[in-house]
Amino acid sequence: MRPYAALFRIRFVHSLQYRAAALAGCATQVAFGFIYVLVFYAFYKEGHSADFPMEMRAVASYTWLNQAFLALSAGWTFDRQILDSIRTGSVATELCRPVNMYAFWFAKSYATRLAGATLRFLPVLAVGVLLPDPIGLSAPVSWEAFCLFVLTLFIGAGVMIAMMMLVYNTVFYTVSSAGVTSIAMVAFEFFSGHLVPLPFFPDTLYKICSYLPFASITNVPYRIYAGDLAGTEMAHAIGLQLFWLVSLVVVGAIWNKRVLRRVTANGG
Amino acid sequence: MRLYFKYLSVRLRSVMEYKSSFFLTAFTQFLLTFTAFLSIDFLMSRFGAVGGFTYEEVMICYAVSYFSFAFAECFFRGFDTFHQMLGNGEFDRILVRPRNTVFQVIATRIEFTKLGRMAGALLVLIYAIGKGEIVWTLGAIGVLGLMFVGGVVFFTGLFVAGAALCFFTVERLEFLNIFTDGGKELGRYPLSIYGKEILAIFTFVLPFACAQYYPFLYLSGRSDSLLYALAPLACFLFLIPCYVFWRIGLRHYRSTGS
Repeated sequence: MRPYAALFRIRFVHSLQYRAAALAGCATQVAFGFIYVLVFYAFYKEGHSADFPMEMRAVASYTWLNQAFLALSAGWTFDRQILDSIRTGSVATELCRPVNMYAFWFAKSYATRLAGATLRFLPVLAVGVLLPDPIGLSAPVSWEAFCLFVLTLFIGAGVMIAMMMLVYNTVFYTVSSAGVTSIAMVAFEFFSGHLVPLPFFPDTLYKICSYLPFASITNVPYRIYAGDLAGTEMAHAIGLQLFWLVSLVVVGAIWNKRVLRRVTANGG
Repeated sequence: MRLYFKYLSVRLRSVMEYKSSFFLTAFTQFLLTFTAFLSIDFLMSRFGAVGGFTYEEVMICYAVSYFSFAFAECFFRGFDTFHQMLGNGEFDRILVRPRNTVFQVIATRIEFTKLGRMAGALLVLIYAIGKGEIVWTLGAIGVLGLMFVGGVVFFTGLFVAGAALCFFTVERLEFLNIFTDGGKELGRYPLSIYGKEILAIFTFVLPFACAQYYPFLYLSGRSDSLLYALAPLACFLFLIPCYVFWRIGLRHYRSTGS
């Protein structure tokens, strides 16, 4: 476990260096928070709130949390280093290290994402808190909900990275990573509820989507925070999160081992 | 112009060397417009109308916004990725050629995969037109055309201004996405639904509403002011400060030396 913890720490500290990029990121996230929240507010203002599957306040909190922790959940940031090492074959050098490749990459990805979120989340949340009631970030519904929010946020990020690892595995089969990654990107963005929170989906689609691993990423933690997901429904959702985390990691790790066994690196 | 088509055909042949990769990327671009459309569909079919606009009307606004953005990205991509040209010294090569720099920046980068996006937006437009809520007189068609042109000009102006900034920073500034991608995202709905302040910003500072909102009022019969119908022309005025900024940047240009 030690080498992975060390890697995690190094990677985390390293990624914390990119402060200027984080500042630009904050500005972008705040702007997009406004864009998403104002769309819902337009519907809300017109008195459609009775038909809202979530309270306006919950939608606003969801949106601001989603923007604040985007670095943890963004489906379009793949680890270029990993992708390039597979493409160029330099992965062969990495294989010489006496570590498990899957755990190594997992720790690296998690550290990068966590550092990105650490740098960005406070300013974005601050803007959210300062905004007036229905469009701003409200306080968590309870202490329990807040604790569960933090817990599920971390599990959700784990599920996210476990799915990313599956994408990296498929890149071993294809020469260019552009195809798989871009399809994955669209899927992450849509099915996780980044564009529109899942409860706004048509009923059947919502039911299906809430069982998919994508729902673990943003849907579960932010809705728990807002009190929109509670009781037995919440317990089910957390159980499902854990199920996906464990099964995706197990499948990914076994697959990764098999893929690495058949890797043939060309010299040169 | 002949030279441009020459460039165009060279670019096209070069992407066709990697056919499967090209079609896959173009297809995902199409999917992106499709999921963006679904995000509108989920809300509009649940609530029916927003800001006094029907679903079909929102579709037309969405199509104008997404199509003109994709068009600008496809043909004027050179400005959007200008930092690369500066960084790798490609721009020095452009400077020594006896042709206009703006022309060369445009001609050397053409992103055909964005055709997928355009196709997606166009499909939505055709569907909305098929619904037949708007009477398509010759004038209306002209105004719709103007809306697209105005949108393309607006986004191109933003790209040019962003590229001009790169002369000073060399890096691409991520916050510019707020205006380009942000403008496109806001443009999914008529710009008035976000409130007076946003509409004012997008009228007087960044004139996107002149291409998307005001002419649409004319198109949908809400207003018969000719000023509104011709509002997209204001986007050309926006191009002037952007170009001036580019000239200033160009004068300050120092090669990175690579």
